[in-house]
Amino acid sequence: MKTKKSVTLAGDADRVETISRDLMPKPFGWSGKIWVGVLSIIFLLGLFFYVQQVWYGLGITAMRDYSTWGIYISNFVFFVAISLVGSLISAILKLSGAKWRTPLTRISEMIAVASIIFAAIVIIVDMGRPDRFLNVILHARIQSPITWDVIVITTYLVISLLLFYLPLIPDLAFMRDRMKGIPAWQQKMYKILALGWKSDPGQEKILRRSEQILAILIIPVAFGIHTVTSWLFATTLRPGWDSSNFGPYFVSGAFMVGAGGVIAAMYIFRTHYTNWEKYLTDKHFDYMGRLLVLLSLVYLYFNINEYFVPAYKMKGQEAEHLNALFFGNYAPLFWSVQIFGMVLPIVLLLFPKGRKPLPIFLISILVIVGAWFKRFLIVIPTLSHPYIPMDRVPESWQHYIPTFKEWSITAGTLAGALLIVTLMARLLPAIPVVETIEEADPNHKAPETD
Amino acid sequence: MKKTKFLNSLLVLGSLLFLPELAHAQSDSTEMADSGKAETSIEVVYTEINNNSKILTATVKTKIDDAYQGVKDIAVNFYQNEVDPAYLLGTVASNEKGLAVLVIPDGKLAPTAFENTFVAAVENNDKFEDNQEEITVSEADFTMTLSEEDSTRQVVISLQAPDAEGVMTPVAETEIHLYVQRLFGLLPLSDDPETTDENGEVTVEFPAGIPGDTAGNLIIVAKVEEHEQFGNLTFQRKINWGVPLVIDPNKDKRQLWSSRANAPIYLIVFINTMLIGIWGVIAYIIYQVFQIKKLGRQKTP
Repeated sequence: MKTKKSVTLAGDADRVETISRDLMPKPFGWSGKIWVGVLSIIFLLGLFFYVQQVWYGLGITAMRDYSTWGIYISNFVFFVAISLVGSLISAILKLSGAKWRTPLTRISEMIAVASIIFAAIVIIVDMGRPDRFLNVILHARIQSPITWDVIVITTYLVISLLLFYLPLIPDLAFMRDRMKGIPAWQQKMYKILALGWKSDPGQEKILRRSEQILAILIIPVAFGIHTVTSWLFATTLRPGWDSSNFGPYFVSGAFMVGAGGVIAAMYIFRTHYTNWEKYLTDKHFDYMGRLLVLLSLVYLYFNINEYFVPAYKMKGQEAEHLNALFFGNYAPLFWSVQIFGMVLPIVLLLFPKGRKPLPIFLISILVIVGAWFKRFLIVIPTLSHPYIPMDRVPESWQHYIPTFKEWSITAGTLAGALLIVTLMARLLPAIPVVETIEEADPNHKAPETD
Repeated sequence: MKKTKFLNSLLVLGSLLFLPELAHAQSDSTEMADSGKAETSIEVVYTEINNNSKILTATVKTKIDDAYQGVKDIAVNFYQNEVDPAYLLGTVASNEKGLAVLVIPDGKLAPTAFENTFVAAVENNDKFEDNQEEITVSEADFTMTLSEEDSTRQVVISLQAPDAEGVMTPVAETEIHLYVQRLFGLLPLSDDPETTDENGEVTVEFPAGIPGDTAGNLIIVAKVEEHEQFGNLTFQRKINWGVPLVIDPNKDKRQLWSSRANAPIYLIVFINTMLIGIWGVIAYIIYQVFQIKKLGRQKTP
């Protein structure tokens, strides 16, 4: 005889009904279908050109002997950076006891998982021949930061998946028991993934303890992933990269763009789904705005260190590199990124009106776009200024202007990451349902953890 | 109906993905003869090394898209004097560049009067027309003498060929190229080739300071290249005139910059400890996930 499994929730039935109706995943409306359609087209176009790249080689890109890393690696650094948001919301805010984080946790984990998956994919795209990735494992040198990066990315991906999955289990059980009229495969998926969850005290205890352990574990790994990514650059003797500031500079920038990513996603979810303004309130945007200011100020501090100190000395090739950034070819992009992607957001977010949902959404878009191009500015100009002068090389090798195909493949990866987040939100509640119901109960007490 | 639409979409996507390749395949066109077989061009080169090894190289090409491209896996028959099975020296299949190389076996050549004619032929091929090309080369005596006097090292190259009576006589005004063999190619010893004098000789002072192997050995190579009378002549000699290579004794020590086999112990220990620690916790969490499932299977009291 089978035991009937069901999730029991404290509180009145109306509240449970209302919250579950608001937060349970729903089929796409017309805007959702257009969104998925556009993303799919961009993704498929990127895939099409990627097949060409595999067929014809990296010659279809603008990468040559000097700019051996192009927008693929800029994009990789961007993905790794934005993935750190998972540890920021799910771990740092959790451990610091910020209860308002509840509706943001799932969104941040979705972004983290999608980003880190595509960070790994982009590395394979950059290798040209995907089979060469095996060589990184088969012939790994443990002394190489590339090996460390492969290890830490894999570790971070697994921890992020667990940190995404574990808090989802009660919601999966909730959907298993409550969602009717859905396809059989979806019902079966919820049933398998819910692991027979029935809010048993033993299960609750294991779950909370595991979440707590993961929340602690992910913080050093998150710092590790972006510090090691920065070491890919900083352990080389190149102007612009040869810096001991790179680890914290990268980590602080990552938290900043991660916060921006969550704010943008919060706004899109809030405007797209009915009644979500009850869960993603102005208060959440305000708090995230304050957090973003703090993170941006930290990043600004590291930026000043990163550029002011070498600019004070202006030595050799470093001077050529900095002149290109401050006054040369890259100056318009450099100053746009610094002003619109960092200084302006800080100033605007200092005002309460700047932290209202629409303004902060627009500011977060500036932060995200600025962050992407910031990675471009970290990777490309340095490669254009090698210590050994460029001599007797074709003109086209001396500059790096990405090809249309390269842009398309890059756009395809960004669209792919957004598609993953979108499909997750289609099948899973983007705001934790059970936790929200429990926290809405006036008699609710936060569970104690071991 | 839905299935058909899906299949159609897949077909469209598939054709999009492979469109460039299809377009490429369609534009491939090989120039055909009246027989329906493609035509080829053959180029033959004769090379002699140290007056001993004799090598014939045939390059077989065909015209594709108005450009000559090497023909792969085509059988090339090499003959002495003329196309006749009695004079067949050997048959070699071409590589992907269309090159077929035959090292003429010792004792295979019929005696001739100071001159040899070689023929490379494509015959009875299913796809390509019969074609042949011949080359005639004179015998030559190409030698290198190395001497060292008062720390001056000299390379003397001598080129002689038989005259009408078969008497070996010096060959003057012939360009000689001098190289040192390196790992991935030949390092020229001068920008321009040297020219033989009336004695058929070239004398060159060998420069000091060229790195050799651990014993200081290097290989000096003299060449007559693409000569209309002799083809390619090569003479090479090994001598310890190089600077001995000193292998850095630190190479085999455990350092950050050593090979993977010589990684520092502290790094191996540190990274593996971290890996075991972190993945141990991950394994514990995964075990806990199964515990949740196990509790889910138990009957509720």
